[in-house]
Amino acid sequence: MEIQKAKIMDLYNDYAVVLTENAEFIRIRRKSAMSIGTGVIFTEQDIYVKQKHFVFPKRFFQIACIAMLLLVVISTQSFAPLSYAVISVDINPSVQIFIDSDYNVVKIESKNEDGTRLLTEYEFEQGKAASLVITEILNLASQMNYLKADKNEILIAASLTKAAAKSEDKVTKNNEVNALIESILSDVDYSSLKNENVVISSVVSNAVNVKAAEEEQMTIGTYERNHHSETIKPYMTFEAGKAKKNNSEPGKPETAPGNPNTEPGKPETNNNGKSQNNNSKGNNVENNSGTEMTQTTEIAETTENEKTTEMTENTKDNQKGQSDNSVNKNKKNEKGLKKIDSTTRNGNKDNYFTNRGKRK
Amino acid sequence: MEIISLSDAKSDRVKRDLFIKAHIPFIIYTTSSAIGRYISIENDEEFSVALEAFNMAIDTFQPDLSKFETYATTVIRNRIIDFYRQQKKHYGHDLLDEGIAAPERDDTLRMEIADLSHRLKAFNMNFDDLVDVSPKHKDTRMRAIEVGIGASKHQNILDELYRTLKLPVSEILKVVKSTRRFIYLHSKYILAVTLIFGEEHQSLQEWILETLKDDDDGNSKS
Repeated sequence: MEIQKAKIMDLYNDYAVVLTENAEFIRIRRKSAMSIGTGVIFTEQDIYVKQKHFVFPKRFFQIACIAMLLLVVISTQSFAPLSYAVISVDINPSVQIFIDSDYNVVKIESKNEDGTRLLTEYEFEQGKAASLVITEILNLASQMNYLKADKNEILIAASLTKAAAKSEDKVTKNNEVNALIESILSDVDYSSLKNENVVISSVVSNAVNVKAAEEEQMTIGTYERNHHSETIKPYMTFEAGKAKKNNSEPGKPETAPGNPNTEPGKPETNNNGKSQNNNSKGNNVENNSGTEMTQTTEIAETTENEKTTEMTENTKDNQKGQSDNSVNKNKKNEKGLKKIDSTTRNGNKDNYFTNRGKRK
Repeated sequence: MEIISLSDAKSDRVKRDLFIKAHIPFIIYTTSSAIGRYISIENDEEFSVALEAFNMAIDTFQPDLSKFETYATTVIRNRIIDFYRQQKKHYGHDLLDEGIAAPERDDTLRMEIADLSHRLKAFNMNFDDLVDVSPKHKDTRMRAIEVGIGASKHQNILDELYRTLKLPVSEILKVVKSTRRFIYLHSKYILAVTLIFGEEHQSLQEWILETLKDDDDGNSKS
């Protein structure tokens, strides 16, 4: 320890600045009776060392601001690929599939216990085509024996998602959904259903109902069935090995496994040798002119193809004569829906499968 | 320098003096703590008392009971308190209070310091800044002081200084032996010195000049 003499130059809160006898300016600790000009004797212990207060680096605020900005920007971005539409598949298991505008699946969710069970077994890969996914789900459902009940209905419901549906009018939206349903369902491989009794029904939903269904924690299919069952249309029927595409008018619910458009009494399976009229555009069509069945089918087909408002018109047209068959036959579906005839009963058992190939 | 042991100090007079001298900082610090203020240069009474107390402590210290420094601190404190009590009795008022109130005031010095402070302000400096720019080594300080003193002798330099608020380095180099780098490095300190010597700051000047003489003194801080 050394001592120094010094004169006080200035006083501060915690210390004083003194000029030592060695001409050095030093800070020493504050004590009592210190005034400017006073001579003091101090030791090394009295020297005051300024504690560096931690100053928040300026950089920190700059970086913090940028970070916050980034956070805001990122949080407003959506990460998942946009959902274009949602399709629900209700067998016993209820699942919903979210697809993008290319009809590839972006997300899949279960809406009930069976659905969860099913999905647990299912290896989901994002980006798969919807039809493929549905095929796989049907296969899986069949494997897991969900299709063994006596009378199975597979309800397919579809709707555009809120975001996708925003700027379009109702008509356009409807068209899109129908096109969607047709396109996807027609690509599904139903071979797993071959030996079961199943009806596949479809229903078009909308964003409002999707939201409502969400709130009630059910699939849109279930919701539609509960609230708007009249809008459910049969799409295809399978009965003990035979499949038949349904062409029901909207509004006629599927009451029995079978084509409601067949005349009562006439079994759905076409055993009388008449072949089903194939209404796909451009596909080979077997003209069944003259048969009641055909007529009915045609009526039904056309009505299904066109808007409901035009239904009566078509019916009128059809009544004009059989020649209309050809007209109908070649009538392009305005909506662009492709119709498959799932069955023929005249030795073209594989018509369905053949047509499948041709359709695309 | 060998450390003189207490036992030596007890017996040997010469060694005792050395021992005490070596402990002066200790004594001063202890006294300062005891009275709550710095021992003033002018006011030596407490220091004398403490010195006496320390001397007594050497004699009365018993090694087994405590450490010497602790013991000495206690002795000094007690003696100081006794001293103040005596003063109180003697003068009718508490010297302790008075001690706190009035170490000797050097009013001229105070005024000089105030003036210097004011001038420094014009140069955007204060004493606190000067602490940070004071050269650490005494030799450096001395050289800087010489530059400052030399510069202050020339009116034109002073005028230039007040005009530009900066050291006119080139001008200074003409009259003082130094280097541009040196002056630049210690410019603030040199500036303060120049101000002190450029104006009528007798007391301050004397105070500093003592430094220059003060080469061989054991107390010089290098």
